[in-house]
Amino acid sequence: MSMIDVAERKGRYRAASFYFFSVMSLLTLWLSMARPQSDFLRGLWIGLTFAAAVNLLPLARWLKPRSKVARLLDDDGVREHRRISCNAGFWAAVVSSLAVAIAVQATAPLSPFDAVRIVATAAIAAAMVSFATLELRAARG
Amino acid sequence: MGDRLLNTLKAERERLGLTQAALAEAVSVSRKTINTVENGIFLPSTVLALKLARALGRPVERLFQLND
Repeated sequence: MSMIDVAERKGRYRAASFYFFSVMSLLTLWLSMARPQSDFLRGLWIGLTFAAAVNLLPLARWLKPRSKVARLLDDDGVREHRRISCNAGFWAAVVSSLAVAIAVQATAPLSPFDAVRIVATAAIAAAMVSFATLELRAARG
Repeated sequence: MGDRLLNTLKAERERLGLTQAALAEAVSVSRKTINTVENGIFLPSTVLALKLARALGRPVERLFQLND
């Protein structure tokens, strides 16, 4: 198996893991807001969201700068996808923070922690779904 | 500002009997990147365009043209 094939396979796994992370981040946010007394769920949300955010960085290239596969996993196309997905994450943060600001006027107030969690989850999930979708679309024939 | 970048990458690659993976290996990028450049989804950097031209043995302006 050539380096190109290995990078392609790893790229697909990364895209699939990004879908998984975004779903899990949304799920743990929903569960921890439904059960606000659960420290475990709050901790799980923090851990998952932190891991998701770190995965959006070009970690492989930073940690293994001489690895050819790591460089292929962060080539020109991937960097463009990362730029577009971070842009999507930024707009998701803007829209979700405006939505939270409007929602707290109409309904019971949210705690600052919950408000921050909603905005952070929206930003991370949008960036991850966008990145994974662009990567899988690019890999298609 | 309505300029589009056209490319003959696929035709030039096929002329040499190269697969996307082989061309990707020659210019040290992933196959996805070659695929997106061929389909006009991704505009390559100057460095990548020059590497592609060198790998395919064609001047860069023959690979990429403005549609104006």
